[in-house]
Amino acid sequence: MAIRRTDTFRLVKPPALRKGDTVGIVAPSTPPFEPADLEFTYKWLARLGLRHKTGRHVLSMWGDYAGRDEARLEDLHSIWADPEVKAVLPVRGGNGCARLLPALNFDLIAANPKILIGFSDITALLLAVHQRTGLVTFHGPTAGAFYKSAYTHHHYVKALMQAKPLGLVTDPEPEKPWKPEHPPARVVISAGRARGRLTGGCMTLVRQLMGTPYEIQTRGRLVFLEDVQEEPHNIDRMLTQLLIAGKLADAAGILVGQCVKCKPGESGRNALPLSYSVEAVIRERLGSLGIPVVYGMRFGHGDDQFTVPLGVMASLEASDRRVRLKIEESATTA
Amino acid sequence: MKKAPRQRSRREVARPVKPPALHPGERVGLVCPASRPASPAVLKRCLRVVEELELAPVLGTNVLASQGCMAGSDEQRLADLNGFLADDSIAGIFCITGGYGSLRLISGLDYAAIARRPKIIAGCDDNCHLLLAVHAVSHLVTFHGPNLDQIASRYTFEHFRNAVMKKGSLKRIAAADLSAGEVADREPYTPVPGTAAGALLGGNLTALTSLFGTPFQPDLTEAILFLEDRNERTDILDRWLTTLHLSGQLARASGVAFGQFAGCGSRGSLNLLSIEELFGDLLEKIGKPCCFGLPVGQGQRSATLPLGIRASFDATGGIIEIGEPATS
Repeated sequence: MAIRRTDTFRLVKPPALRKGDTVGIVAPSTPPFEPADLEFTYKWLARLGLRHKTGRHVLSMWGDYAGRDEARLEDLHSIWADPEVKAVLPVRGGNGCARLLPALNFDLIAANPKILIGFSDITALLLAVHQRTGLVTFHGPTAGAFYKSAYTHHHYVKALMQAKPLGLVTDPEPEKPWKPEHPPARVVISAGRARGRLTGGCMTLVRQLMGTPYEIQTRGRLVFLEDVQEEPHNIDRMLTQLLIAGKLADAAGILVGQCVKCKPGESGRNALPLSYSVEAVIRERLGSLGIPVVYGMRFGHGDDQFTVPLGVMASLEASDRRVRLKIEESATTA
Repeated sequence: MKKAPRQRSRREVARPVKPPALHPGERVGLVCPASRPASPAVLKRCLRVVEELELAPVLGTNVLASQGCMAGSDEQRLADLNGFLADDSIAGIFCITGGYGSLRLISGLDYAAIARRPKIIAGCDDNCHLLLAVHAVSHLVTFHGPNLDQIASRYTFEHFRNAVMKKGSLKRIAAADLSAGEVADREPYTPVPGTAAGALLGGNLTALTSLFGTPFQPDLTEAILFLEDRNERTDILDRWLTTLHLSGQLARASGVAFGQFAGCGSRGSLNLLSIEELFGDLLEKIGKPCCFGLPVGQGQRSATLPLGIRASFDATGGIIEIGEPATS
């Protein structure tokens, strides 16, 4: 049986980023597709007045990982330990983060609270660091994605560069109303009100950590989940696993993000005939838990994503009329 | 969701419960706990396979029902399963096909009926949820064998018959079995040589990890862990093996036997490494005897492995030797 850790820890907020600060680029999972991708990142960081340092192994490759586990870990540790570096920015998700957890130096992280932001595969790092050290970690765009849309950029800067309560989360203006690819941003699956500290991330990663010492703690939390390129029946599998493990019934509420490329057949693997939709799965699996559930919110693998700080208090109000998500506190300290 | 019966730890009850072997003429229930068979013709052939085993097949009422990707609603699939579990005239239960859906049923299984009248339950793929959950809760020896629609060779058929109908010890299973009659002998790929002994436990990797963090999570301590999967991307399979590693369970197993990974590979992703290299990397780190290439899983030739039965494993030679009868 895995070690169960209690949900009582001291929440630690990292200092906000300021103009002139240096950020550290790492690749704990998959490297950028090509070196030129990093140039975009550097240019956009410069526009925010941020300097950068880049880990030695960011462009290494071992399979689809940015080097072997030892190399990726060495980068993460040396960037985190660097006193000049104020924020640790994984450049990309992909795969491989969870492999680093057994040898990750949580004491080093706890002793040097810094911003850690990413999504997708980085969820493993966000959850493990947040739960082990109490540090607020950020589910938001990676260093290779924070400039994908004005909406994403706005929320990124707001969460990382100011120490004010983040407040109401709004939706982006629909740019292509004629041919929407995703459900409306706030489909109410279950109405109600909830208040709790935020936790969650990419479902595949939440599942990957089940039964391990880094398993997600959801009691009383406002849980946010999303995924990309998964068959609806795989979403069903992940939610069912979390349900049987008792992880969803004791949550305060559930926010499901955009699930991009999750229509039957879009995973490019193990598609099943006569499948059903993600919305049908969410309604059927989560609709009768007795807690508010909203689907389609703009976080996850779409171009538009707001930054969600793990550990920060938020409230959700979902009714037929409207859905109101408010992040009540700041995610950083001044 | 119903609460699962409390699971006793492996240490409290070391002895597995062996179901009685099947005898010619006995009735077996055929079920679809996950998806429905591809067509009525497939179903017809499944019936013929059971008749060739000299058993009397009894089709579940709902095997051709349909809801989403599953063979009917949870209630329908459970009704078939629990009906057969409670029916004393049914001596065993065979799964017709895999797909997805048996995970949704394990909280509602009639474990009291299983305890009262242990019987053979066999299947693979998605049905591993069922095999592993029943083994974890009831300590019943369940059979990781072919789903009926996957019996595609005499080898698979004979191993299955031997496992569920014979009283004596089971046949030895070797990587070389896969090459009998072919051009060159198949040899196991062995990242970590060595031998191991323990109870057989495992199955479909995706299904196995779907039980992690739940009350049905298997305890792999001192087990000979066997793993297989189908139509999955290499990097995703690496995720699930990482789960076993992070949980500490991989280090507690005595050895790992990798079977068939039919249709698995990079599947268009950027990964250039094989399953053998990725998994081997992890297992070399913890020094666990392991080999690839056993005839276990969903390939043309597939052996039947009983969960909870003691066996010895030779990773160097790619051989599993089962040490005791699987049935009573």
